[in-house]
Amino acid sequence: MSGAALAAGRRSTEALAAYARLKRRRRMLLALLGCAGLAAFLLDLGTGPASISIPDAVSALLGFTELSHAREVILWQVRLPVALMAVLVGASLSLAGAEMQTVLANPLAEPFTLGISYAAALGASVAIVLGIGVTAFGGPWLVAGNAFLFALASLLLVQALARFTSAGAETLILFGIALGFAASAVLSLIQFIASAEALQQIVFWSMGSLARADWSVVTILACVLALVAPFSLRAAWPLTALRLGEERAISLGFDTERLRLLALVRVSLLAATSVAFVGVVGFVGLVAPHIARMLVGEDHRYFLPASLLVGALTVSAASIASKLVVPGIIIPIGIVTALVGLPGFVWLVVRRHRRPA
Amino acid sequence: MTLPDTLTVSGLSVRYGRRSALDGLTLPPIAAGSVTALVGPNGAGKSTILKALAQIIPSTGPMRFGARDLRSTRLRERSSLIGFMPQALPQGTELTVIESVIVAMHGAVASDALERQAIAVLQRLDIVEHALSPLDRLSGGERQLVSLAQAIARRPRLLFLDEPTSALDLARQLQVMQQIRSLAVEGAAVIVVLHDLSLAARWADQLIVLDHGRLYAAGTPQGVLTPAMLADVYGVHARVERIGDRLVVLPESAVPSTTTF
Amino acid sequence: MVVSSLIHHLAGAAGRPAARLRFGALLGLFAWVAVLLAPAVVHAAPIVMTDILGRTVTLEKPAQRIVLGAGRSLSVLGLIHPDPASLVVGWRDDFKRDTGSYDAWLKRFPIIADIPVVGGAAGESLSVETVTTLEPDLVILSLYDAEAPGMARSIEVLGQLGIPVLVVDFFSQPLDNAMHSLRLLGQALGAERKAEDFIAFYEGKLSLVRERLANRPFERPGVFMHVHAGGMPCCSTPGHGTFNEVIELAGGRNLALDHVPGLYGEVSLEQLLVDDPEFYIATGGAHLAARGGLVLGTGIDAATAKGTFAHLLATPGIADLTAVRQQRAFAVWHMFNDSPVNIVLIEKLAKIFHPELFADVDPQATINAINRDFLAVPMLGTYWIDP
Repeated sequence: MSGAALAAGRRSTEALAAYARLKRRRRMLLALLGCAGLAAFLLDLGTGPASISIPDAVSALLGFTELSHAREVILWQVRLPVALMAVLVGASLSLAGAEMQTVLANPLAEPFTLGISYAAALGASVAIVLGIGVTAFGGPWLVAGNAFLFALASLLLVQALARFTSAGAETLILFGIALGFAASAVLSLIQFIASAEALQQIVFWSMGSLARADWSVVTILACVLALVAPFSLRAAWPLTALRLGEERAISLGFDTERLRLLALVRVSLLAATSVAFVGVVGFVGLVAPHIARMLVGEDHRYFLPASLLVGALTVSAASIASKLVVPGIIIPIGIVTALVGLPGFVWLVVRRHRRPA
Repeated sequence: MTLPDTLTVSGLSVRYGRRSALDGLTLPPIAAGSVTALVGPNGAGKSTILKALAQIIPSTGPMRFGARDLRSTRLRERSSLIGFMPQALPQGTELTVIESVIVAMHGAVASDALERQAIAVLQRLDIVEHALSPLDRLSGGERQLVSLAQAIARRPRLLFLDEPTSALDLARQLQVMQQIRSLAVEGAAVIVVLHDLSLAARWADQLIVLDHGRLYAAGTPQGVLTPAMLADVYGVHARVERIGDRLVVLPESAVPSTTTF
Repeated sequence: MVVSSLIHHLAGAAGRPAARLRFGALLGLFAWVAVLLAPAVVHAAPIVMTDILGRTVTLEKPAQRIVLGAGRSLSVLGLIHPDPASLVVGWRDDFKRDTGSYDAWLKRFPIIADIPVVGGAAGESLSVETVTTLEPDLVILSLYDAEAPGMARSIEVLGQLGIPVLVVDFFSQPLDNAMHSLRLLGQALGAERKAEDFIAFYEGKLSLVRERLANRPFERPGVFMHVHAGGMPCCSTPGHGTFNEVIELAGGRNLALDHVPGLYGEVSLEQLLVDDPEFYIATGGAHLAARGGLVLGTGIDAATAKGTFAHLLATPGIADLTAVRQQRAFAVWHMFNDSPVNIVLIEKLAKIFHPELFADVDPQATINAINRDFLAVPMLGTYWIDP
């Protein structure tokens, strides 16, 4: 073999080894993220004015010890649903954000870019102010049901409008923005005619709160995530291919139209369900995927799970913060995710794009 | 000896809304094992043809490769059969080079062999040292090579390359054209869109000249590259010189335009 | 041992005729002992109440560790209990916004500065965890708070914790619910006597107003009530609830009823000018000081109050109202709502709308009586401004 061929052979082997190391590192990062998420969840479980420490909480959950009746109720009816909700909402929104950013080829896309938050708020306000429910649900499910349906409808409407035009992703975003403005205008109108107490309820609803979590809500969100996530992960390859460009992806044999449609359906379900029960929790769907991307790259087999875990970790941390900032008061989670996520995100961006010395 | 499979395209039409970009275009048969260069001025429709052939944009008109009707071939099979390199370079993605090639191969090659084959493709194009670099950290030329790697990764029988050398330096240009030649020798039918006519003359067996969506001429480089064609299609006075066994096109001045495009 | 020997004796005595007298005496002894023990038994009986929402609320004994959903309810408790601050272990701290009243209460009961906060705004969930750490025996919520969807979960968990929740209402439908609510509070605090006294006082004054208006036919003047007046674009106003009943009772007609579907809402300045009410009533309080609005109430002197009122009446648009130009614009304290002391407001408004019918009614005397006989912290300040 010639010297050049030998050198080439060595480079190949090195490259393969380096790639194997890269994959190993990514898997470790995923495991680490998982552990961090679990740690945050446990910390969330152990945080609050009632004196239930983490070891107490864990052993009580596992049935090893029994706390006083009041503490048991607090653990099972307040802390656990909230902690689970934080993890589920964070995971749902960031998984949705990750898919959206890929499918719309836009790093600023998040579940609420296509006007979902405004549409959901509109649905909620229609229920609160006019008492009109689009769904068959009544009572406490009226608001959530409406929010969900309006959010879903808005995404499908945007998708339908985009079909009439040729350029896929850009028109989707433009239509989404337009829809967001339209929904926000109608929302303002409804707020205007609303009674003051309804207005206040709309505002509270919009701020996002995990405190509404009870077991039925947690179960629903868990089911939706469990249902949707496998389909997202199955689409990992086509989504990765999409990162190489629309034409390239089509040439590789992927039906990008269908991919986009299905991805947006998944995004709608995840985002609409989260918004319906928790209100508007912005920022997670935008930032968590970026953090995930910085950690594990864009191979969606790693990127999607990483987004999910980063999101869960972020909202869990935000839940902890929201309990600690002002004693006795729980700050709305939407505010906290922005406050917690923003500095971390800025730091990451600065670190990555630092001017060369 | 069996005849090599031939790509036959007739009556190809592409419409963008009410405008028709291509109207009933018939190409000369393109045989496996040959390199065909598609040339013509900007806006002539060269990229459109490639995209139509790769079935990335909708079109009408029969397309056959050998006995196979390309239009009725299933998506999966088609993507293994046809390798396409778009004009646009991959942009704004942090995907590493090796990952992008692995993605291009997924489904066509068995999983455990994927990585080795991907490296082999990178090796072939001499960019193995960039294997773990994110795409957005590479120069334009390097990204173009990666795009080419993605196109050839599946060893397609049909290869459609849209300006594969536009961002490459002299050495790389040579390297790529050599690779394209050897791919043809290995049995692929290659169609390359090129702007550099001298390059086309050097490497292509057949030249197809496109003008305003219509076939102007097709044939050997010597037959097609004439000063008359250059003036007519490109609106340029040029000399066509022979240096050794190479044809070289030397533009001199523009033809005063009497027609509007 | 005493009992067993008594029974022994009884068993023995029952049969013999001479012992029948002894038997009777012993029976009498039993009866006397029973009467002695009775109050103790009665005292140990649980307090069972039916609150404004029709829920049954049971307390073992009068509440001594109360969490208030609305901090300002403290002043209502002050009507029937001399030291309500000692009963409150947690609250929402909205009371602090009425700086005048809060300062007066703080001076009298410094411990209220340390009462832990259990939640943010009314209608948004309580921190149930914080509530449990306070070990309350009762949580008192206002109706508008309890009915808000954001509170549903909190109330549910409180129920699971076995903490009684009592819903009262002095705000939404004051005339229907206020006295019943006060009675409930009396029961909850073991202050039934004081509560009944106030109810009698209140109903006496109320029936006077009602009778006088019933006996004589009268014209209902059009009234516009501008609540939280000043510093914000016009105009917030009560709709079908809160102050509306007070206006109606006092013989006025709330012009905002046509425009506001809910409990309270907004009416534009233009609409107000079109309606051109006969009487313009602005409400204000210490909580409006920060935004340059109408300031009056506990702890506010007359000069300050008049100054802010003059400033309000000079606002373009409001200055052009007929009522303002013709000296029929008044200011009243906003915190008369959500409290049984709204009887003072009823009397004041009745005097404003029908001066000839209520010349002898003296709202200030009513305040003085409440201060003297009921309130733990007296109401001292400027509570209305006449033109």
